Amino acid sequence: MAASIPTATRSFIKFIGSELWFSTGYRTPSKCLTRTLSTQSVASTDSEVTRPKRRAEKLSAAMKAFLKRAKEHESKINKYTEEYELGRKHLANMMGIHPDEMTQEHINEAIRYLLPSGLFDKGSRPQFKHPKDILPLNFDFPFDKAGRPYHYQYYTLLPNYHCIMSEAAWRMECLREEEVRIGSTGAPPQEEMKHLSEEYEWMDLRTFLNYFKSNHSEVVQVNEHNRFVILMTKLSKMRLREQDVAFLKQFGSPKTSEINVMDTEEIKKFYVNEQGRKFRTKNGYRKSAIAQVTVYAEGEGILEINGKGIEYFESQYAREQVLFPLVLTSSLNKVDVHARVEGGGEMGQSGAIRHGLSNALLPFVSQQMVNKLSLSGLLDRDSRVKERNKPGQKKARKQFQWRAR
Amino acid sequence: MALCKGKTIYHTLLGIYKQQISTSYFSTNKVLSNMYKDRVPSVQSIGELNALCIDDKPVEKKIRIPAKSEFSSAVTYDPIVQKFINILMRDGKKEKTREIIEQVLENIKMKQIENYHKATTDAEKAMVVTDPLKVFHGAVENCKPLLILKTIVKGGSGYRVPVYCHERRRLRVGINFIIKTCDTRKRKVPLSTVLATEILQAYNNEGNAVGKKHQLHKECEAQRAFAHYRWK
Repeated sequence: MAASIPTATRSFIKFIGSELWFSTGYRTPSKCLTRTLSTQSVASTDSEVTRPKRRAEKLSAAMKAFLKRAKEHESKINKYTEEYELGRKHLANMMGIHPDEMTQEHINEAIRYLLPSGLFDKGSRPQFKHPKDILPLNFDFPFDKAGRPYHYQYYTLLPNYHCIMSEAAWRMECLREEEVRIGSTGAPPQEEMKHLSEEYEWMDLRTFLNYFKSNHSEVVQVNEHNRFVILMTKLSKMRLREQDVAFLKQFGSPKTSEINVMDTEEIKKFYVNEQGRKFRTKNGYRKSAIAQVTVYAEGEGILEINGKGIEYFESQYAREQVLFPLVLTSSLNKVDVHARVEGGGEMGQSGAIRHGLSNALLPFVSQQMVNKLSLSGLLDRDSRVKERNKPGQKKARKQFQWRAR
Repeated sequence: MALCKGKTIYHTLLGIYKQQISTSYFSTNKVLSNMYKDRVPSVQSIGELNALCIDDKPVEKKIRIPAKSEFSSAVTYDPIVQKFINILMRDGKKEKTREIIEQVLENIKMKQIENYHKATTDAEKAMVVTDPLKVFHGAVENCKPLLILKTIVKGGSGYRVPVYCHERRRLRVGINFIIKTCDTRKRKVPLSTVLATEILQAYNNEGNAVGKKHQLHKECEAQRAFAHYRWK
C-alpha cells in the first residue's frame, strides 16, 4: 500500500505517525464476523493454558489457516489504532483544534488542505481514517472443526444465490406434482391454491447486485440475474399456495399501473393568426427531404404543396401517403393545409409531409384521433436512410465482378 | 434437483421465445435492422386501430416503428396484395407493378361476370364469386404449402429435410409458385392476362401453381426418412 504513495508524501506521513490507506482495493466490511471471531478466542486459550489430559481434537488445515488469519488481523488493527490515535493528536495540534473535539469531518478537511491532490479517481486520493473502516473484516469461516462446510451449497461459489434458486425450483416441482395429482385423481388440493391477480416486477439488476453484496458479500453477474428473472416469472404464473406468495414477495412487488402519457400541453399548443385563425406549423423529415407544414383550423379543405395541389405528386402511393393522416382522423374537408418541401425524391417528400402534417394536426382533433395517430406510428420519424457507397465496391454491399486466375 | 437436468431450463427458455415469435403475416417489424431494436411495433391495420381507440383515454407514450409507406386508409389497400406487389416487383418499379395487379383484378372481375351470366340456374349463379379480392385471397391460400424442403449438411453430405415453417414464409412460397408459372408465357402476351388465368385456376384448386405445391408435398414425403435431422 505504501509503495504506491509518492515518496515526498511518505515522509510527511511518518511525521504524522500514521499510515494512509487506499480504500478502493478492499471490499466493504460485512456483518457476519462476530460468530467466528468469538469461537476463535475460546479455542486458542483452551489448547494453550488449561492443557486437558485427553488428546485435543484434531484441527483441520482450513481451521488452522483461519485462526492464523484472525490473529494477524487483530494484531494489525491493534497496532494501527495506536498509530492512528497518535496521528490524530498531531493533526489536531497542527490545525489548532482540541484533540477530543476532532471529528472525522475535521480530519478530512485537514487532509484536503495539507495534501491537495488533483487525481481524477477520488478513491486514490490520500485519506486518513480509522483502520476498522478500511481493513477488510468480512472473511467468514464457513467450515466446522472437521473441515466440512456449514452451507450445503458452499462449493457452488455463490451459496446464497443458488440456495434461493434451488428453493424456487423445488417449489415449482412440488406445485407441478400437486397439479398432476389433482388432475389424475380428482382429489381436492391439500392447501388453497390461487393464481396471482397481478403481474409482478422483479428486482432490477442494480438492487439485485446490492442485495447479495451487502447481505451475503457475494459478487453476482448479469447472467445470474437473467436466470433469476426467468425462473421467478415462470413460478409466478403457476397456481400458488400462500407460502409461495410469501416467498415471491421477498424478491418482487406487483407492477404499478402508472402510464407514461404524452405531454398534453404540447399536443394542444397552437398560435393565432393576424386574421384570427388558429394554426400550427411543424417540420417533417424522411430520407433527405424536409417539409414545413402549417395546418389551419376550420378551413374549407384546401391542400397546397409548393403552390400546387395534390397533383404535385404523380405517384399514387405518394398521394395516398399525404392524405393518410387526414382520412384517418376524418378531418379531410375541415382543415386547410399548406406545405413546403425541399430535397429528396417523390416518396421522401410525401413521407416528410405525412410526418409534419400528422404532428401539426394534433390540437385540432379529438384525443381518440391522437391515439390513432400515435398507435399507427405516424408521429415518429422514419430514421432509415440510404447506405453509403464503399470504396472498392460497386454499391453499399455489391462488389465488382472478379475471377480467380 | 430439477434445475440441474437441463430439460427444465430449456423449457423455460422455449416459453419465453414462443412469446416473442408472432405468427401473423406482417410482423416484419421484427426482421428490421438494429436501428429499430428498442422500438415498439406499430399497428398496421385500420380495423385493429378502430378497435383499440374507442374511448378518449390517452394511450401510453412509446417510440414506435413508423408506418410503412404503402400502408394507407385507402379503400384499395390490402396487405396481401401489397405483399404480392413487392414480390413481383423488378428494379424498384412499384408503380408499374401496381398497374399490372390492378389490371389482373379487373380481368378476374370481367371473367367472373362472364361466368355469372353463362350460368343458367340460380344455384349455379350463387356459386360464382364475383369479388376479385376474394378470388385472389382464395388462390393464394390454396397455393400455400404445409412443409418445405431445407438442405442440411450432415457428415459432409447435404440432405433435403422436410421442415415446417411459419406463416410469413408459407405466404411467400405460395406467391412465388404463382409468379414462377408465368415465366413460361409466350412473348407479346401481357403478364396481367396470364396471371389472371393462373389465379382463377388456383382458386379452383387447379393449374400449375397448385401442381407445384402438390409436387413439393410429394418430395417431402419421399424424404421423410431424413426428417429426424431437423432436431439432431
